Amino acid sequence: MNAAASTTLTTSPALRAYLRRATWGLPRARQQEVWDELEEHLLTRTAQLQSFGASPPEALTRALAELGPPSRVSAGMNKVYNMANILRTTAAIALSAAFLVHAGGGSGPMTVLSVKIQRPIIPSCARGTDPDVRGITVTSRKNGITCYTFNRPEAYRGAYLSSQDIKLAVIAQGGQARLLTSKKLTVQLPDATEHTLYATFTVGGTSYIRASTLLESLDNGKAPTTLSGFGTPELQFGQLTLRLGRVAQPSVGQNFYEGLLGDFVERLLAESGQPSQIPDLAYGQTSAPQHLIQTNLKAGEVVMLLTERGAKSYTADVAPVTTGGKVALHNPSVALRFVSDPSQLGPYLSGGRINALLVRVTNIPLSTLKSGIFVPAQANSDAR
Amino acid sequence: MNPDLLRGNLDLILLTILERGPLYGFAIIQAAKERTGGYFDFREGSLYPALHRLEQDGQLAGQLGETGRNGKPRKYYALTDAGRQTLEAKRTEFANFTGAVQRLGEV
Repeated sequence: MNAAASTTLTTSPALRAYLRRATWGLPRARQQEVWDELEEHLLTRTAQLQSFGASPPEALTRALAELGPPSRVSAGMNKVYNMANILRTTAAIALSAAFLVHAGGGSGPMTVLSVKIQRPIIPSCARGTDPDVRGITVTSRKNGITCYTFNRPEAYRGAYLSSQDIKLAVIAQGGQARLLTSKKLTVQLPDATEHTLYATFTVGGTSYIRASTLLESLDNGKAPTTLSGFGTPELQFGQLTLRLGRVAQPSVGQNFYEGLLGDFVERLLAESGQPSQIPDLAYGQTSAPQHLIQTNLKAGEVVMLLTERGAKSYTADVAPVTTGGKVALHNPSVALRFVSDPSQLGPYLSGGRINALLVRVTNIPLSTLKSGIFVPAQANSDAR
Repeated sequence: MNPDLLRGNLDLILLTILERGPLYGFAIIQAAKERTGGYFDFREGSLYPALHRLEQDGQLAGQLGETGRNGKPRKYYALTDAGRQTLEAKRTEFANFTGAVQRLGEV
């Protein structure tokens, strides 16, 4: 099999579907690594089978079958990477005495919180109408109540903080907090604003709140709310500063910022005077074309790429700027033109390109997120 | 062969194959087949998670090699010092086990 034939195979829908399924749920950095490794294996085996006389489609089909069900590969890989993270997080939580770390440097005290990056797969239930059957597995139907789980492991990924830790952090920094029930936490920040937070899930009697929910709930517009960092994201609400994770983990940053993409889009639309209804949002999958964009931002800043697929339907991705100012973002469109205002977004090609927004989301007040929009010196991008 | 035997001794088999030098995933499968006359036929989907687990445990070290068919560098796995020690320990354990089973039959 020559190089051209390999290139043709790498775009095979069957191959891409297999690889996508086999790498589901992995931390983003690992996802690409495993994708490349399995792809190389499949192309080599396909070439070998072709040299024995199989046609290209037959060879690929057999190579895929030999590698086994992609769900098995994905389960095995997730056990290696995500279980290790969960166990590390659990171990960190067990060290309750050392759990909260207060740093005196910078502009004020800061509390470090451990982060869970996956929630347990617990069925969701709906009464009355059946939920949309795509992408779910129904686990029970009884008395008009349908319970189901999501098929995509990503649906259970996120950045979650324990209610008890949030409570301790708020109190440690001069606020007040009280767990009203196991799933309901009331918080009074040092600036006297009051907030109610609801947990997403409970494990072993400990309830967990989505980090993005914490930010959305505590940001009341009275005090500036800003974000910074990726591996250990920092959230600042007026005088309260929280850091997620003690050791930098890209999966924490990825899960945290992905959880906020919908909120970012809503804020941008609202600031631009567009209806602030909840946008239909799709995430930039790592399997989508990658745009390597040169910016003049410092390493560690976080950038969102946003395009519009249709009326109020958007695709967004988020990634950190690396050394040298480059940021790698994924989007289904291979040819992008960067624009400076959300009103310029649209689903139609113009000059062969889709308009796209780049927004710095760190070290900027979230209430004025639009000021984070920037157009790089190279205003067009062609995916790799 | 009985797949349970392969599964139960997967680490020993992989570490043994890599004792001679670093290999990438596909080459490991080929080596296992060729060196055993086809006796070891991996369920390939379980091979890669096992390699990554051993790498995370520090038994193997990943190294990037020549460009593969997808235009990306191939990932080679090399035995680390810790991996060598584990291999010796597993070899001894396996030899003790098979020796004990043989002695059972001799009685």
